[in-house]
Amino acid sequence: MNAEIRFKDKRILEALEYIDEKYIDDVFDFLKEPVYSKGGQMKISPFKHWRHYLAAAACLLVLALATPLFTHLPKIINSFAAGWGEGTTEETEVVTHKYEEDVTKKNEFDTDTSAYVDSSVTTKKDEETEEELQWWNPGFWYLEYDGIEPLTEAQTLDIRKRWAEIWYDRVLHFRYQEYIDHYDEEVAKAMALEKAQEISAEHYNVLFNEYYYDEYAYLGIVNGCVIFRDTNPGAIVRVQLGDVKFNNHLFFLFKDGDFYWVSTAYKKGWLTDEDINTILEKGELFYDAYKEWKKDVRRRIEEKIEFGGE
Amino acid sequence: MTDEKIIEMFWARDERALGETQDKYKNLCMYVGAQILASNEDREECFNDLLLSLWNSIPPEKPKNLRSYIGRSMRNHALNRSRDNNAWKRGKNFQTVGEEFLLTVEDGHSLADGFEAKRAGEAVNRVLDSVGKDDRRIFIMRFYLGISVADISRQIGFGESRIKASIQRTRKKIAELMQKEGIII
Repeated sequence: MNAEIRFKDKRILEALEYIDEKYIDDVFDFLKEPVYSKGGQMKISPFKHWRHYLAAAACLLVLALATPLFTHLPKIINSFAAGWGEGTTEETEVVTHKYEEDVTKKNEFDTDTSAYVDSSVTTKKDEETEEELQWWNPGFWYLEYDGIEPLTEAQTLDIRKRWAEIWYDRVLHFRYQEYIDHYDEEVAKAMALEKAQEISAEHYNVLFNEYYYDEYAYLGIVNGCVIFRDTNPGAIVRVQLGDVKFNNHLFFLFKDGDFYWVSTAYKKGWLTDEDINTILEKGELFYDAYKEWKKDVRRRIEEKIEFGGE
Repeated sequence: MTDEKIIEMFWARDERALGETQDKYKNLCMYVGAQILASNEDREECFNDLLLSLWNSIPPEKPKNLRSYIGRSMRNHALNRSRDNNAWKRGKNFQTVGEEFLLTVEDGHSLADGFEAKRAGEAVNRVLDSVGKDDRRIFIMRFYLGISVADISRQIGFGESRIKASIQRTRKKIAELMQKEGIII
């Protein structure tokens, strides 16, 4: 890229100065500014009093003292155990062996655990597995550092298929392998169905398996609202909706041309308690199928079977 | 204090209007300024310039939406200062934002001869008119205000991947429309 082109093209930025004021007004009305102190300085430090610094220093000191203790604790226990006489050597060996086994396991691919786990139900084991998978998966490195754009900009089917292969997410896989822009096609279909207001079991099955809006699975229509489930939520907020503790931000809906959280729709009276239960049931059905699909994909990756070979 | 009351005070040349504006909108202005200027001193100075310009411009102006009026003025003051200081490079996000937007047209394309920013702006408006409310907000936050993807994610409450996908889609639509209308070739 030479300087001349950059200079020429920079003029495109001037176009932004002509953005309609009503859109900008809307953003400013919506914007949540961070909290500043009275002096106008941003509150960066969480410490407001010298006692807080003292407490933090004390915590660090305790941590510094405790870390070597915990590191050497197994050795200390083993050395104590070794002093107890016969039989204890075998026990020490077992411990060592187990440790080596764990290290080996870390470098293997775990086929039994689903990569996608609701953050509300994530266990320690799952977190460790997730970490291993991310480390193992070349797609992770690519997407982590180069972002998702190169994927969407991949122009040839071959490249898309390749990325679909390594990025074992159900949605992206389907999307890129089939070369479908879900934003336009799939939502249009969903909207058409919304008008029809009826979904047969067979129809639902097709939707269930193949309809996505970006990375959001289309779950069907509940009380006139098109329901989606996020397959990669940034954060989940638990809210009480009627008798149910609901994972907000995991589900959202489309109505009258806009997207809403389920909690918002519930407060507006668009969804009843019964509807909330229906959404949860649909979500569970989806999640079960999603987990199965992921296991299958991992098995295939492991066996190096090409997806949907031509 | 309501915006109407503050505007009335400006019209009555009551200097307390400046204090009220500062109490109510300094946070917003510092946030907007922080996306463009790295230095806190620069942002403070911009805010003082903004207060002076408000004092001079109201009256005769009577903004319908004071919050937005102040936000936009602060952005313009901050951009002017960053250009004056030749501090474009020191801006937190804005240079990246500019380049990100340029990428839409850099790949094998260039601007047509006789490029008119106003016409291009109208094309952008048409696209913004056709996309959903969230996509529109995301686009303006990213490219007009220069807010980072992570921060937009926190502001709107969607995952970062969704924000990125939305930006990508809107950029693509703008590029397509501009190509169609001969703004870029």
